[in-house]
Amino acid sequence: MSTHRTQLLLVLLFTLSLPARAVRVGEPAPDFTASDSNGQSHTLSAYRGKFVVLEWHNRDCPYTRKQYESGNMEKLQQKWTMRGVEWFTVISSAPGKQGYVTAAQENAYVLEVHAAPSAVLLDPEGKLGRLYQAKTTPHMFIIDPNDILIYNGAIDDKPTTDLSDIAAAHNYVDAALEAALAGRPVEVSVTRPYGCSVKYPD
Amino acid sequence: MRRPKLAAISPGLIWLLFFCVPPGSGAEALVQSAPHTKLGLLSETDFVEPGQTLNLGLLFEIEPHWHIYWINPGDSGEPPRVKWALPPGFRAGDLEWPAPARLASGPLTDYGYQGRVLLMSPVRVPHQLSALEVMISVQVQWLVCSDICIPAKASISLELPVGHAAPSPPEDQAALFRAARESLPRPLPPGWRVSADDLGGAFRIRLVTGAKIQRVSFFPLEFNQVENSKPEISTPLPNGVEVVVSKSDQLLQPVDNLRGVLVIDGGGSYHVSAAVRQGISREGRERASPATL
Repeated sequence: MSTHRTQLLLVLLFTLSLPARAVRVGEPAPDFTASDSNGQSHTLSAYRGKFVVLEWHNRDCPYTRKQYESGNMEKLQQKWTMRGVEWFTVISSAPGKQGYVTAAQENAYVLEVHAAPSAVLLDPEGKLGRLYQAKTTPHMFIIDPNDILIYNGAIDDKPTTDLSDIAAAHNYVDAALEAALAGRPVEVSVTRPYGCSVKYPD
Repeated sequence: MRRPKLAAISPGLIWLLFFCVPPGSGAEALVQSAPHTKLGLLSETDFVEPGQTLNLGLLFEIEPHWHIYWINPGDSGEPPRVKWALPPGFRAGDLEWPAPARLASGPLTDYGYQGRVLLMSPVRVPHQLSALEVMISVQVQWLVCSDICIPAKASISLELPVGHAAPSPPEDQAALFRAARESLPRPLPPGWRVSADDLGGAFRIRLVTGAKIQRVSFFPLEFNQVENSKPEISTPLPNGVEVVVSKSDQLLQPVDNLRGVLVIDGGGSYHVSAAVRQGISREGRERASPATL
């Protein structure tokens, strides 16, 4: 096949194939139904009218541990769920991989660290993770009351595992929620998520 | 107020590896074996010459199946970071990053190094030095990953005599620095041209050298411009080569400039920076309409 023809095919491939699967800020967030660690089912579209946070989690990842051992993530969960935000922690680690937990293990952990999400969604097959193209733990998404994705990216601007970096970090999720709940536009809506890779099934 | 129980853990504990070793002398200070990585501080010469550049290098020896990261780590991870402690008047340059490898795991792609890699840093030495010996220290933080990731931290020091003579450095050490220099991306040679086009869902980067090149791979320096895990498609041209890379799904605005490293299969690597020509996307789509196929 000629180079020219290859190129035409390529252009077609790239222009047609991308939009269907993209998870983009400013566009509707993909709907999903997933089970939590108490066996309850949650459907995103049922939360229309509320802000929803998705937080990808792996308790053994050093970047996640930085947020939890400092108490930072638990504080954010507490603050925003008290203000009516639905906060879903999502675990997409496959069985046998780092961060995989049973429902009972997860419930014990939530109590132990005083985590305060609305629910923890268990996604051992990685379906929700792949739907949102979740890359790292943590990886944060915020969805507005009209189901529009308004934030996609990192928890903060200090991509390290060092607990001492939290004090000086600018927390993108906190800032985005402050703005959005006050009816202001989100200033920084896309950042590079940082952390461990999500431990999807092979 | 409820305090998370784990908050009492001291920040130091999160570092699974922490080393403080006595200073090495001669041209090499090696940190003892650490889980998954050994780190050494090397000098290209075994003395410091006033007014010259002292080439230092951090040698990472990484266990099989583990890796560390490039300056743009890709979808996950974090590049090594250094904090130099140098004598007054010494000035460390930025780390020099060899061309990385593409490291895929599941739906994610990272950019980094496996095996052995030397990250060099050129240090300016002041013209006046009264000391007979100088102490070079560096604190390094890095992340080493396989399926899981482990943060590591080490402090290494090296004592070097001040001198003007030019004794030959240990041969294996000189060879390491030579090899590291070979693996650094170079500026484009005179006469070579690089251009970039926005194709709508992808960027096309074209390298014109005057001769046909089989394959090239692009490593972006900026985050969130390119979808790291989407396969790139490289096509030889009579006078060079081109590669089509998928745009990041997260782009909110057009990209004006693509900066990165082009790695030619079996033929070196080059720093490139190309203004992105917009507008070709409409033409591209028209040309690609089913009727023309």
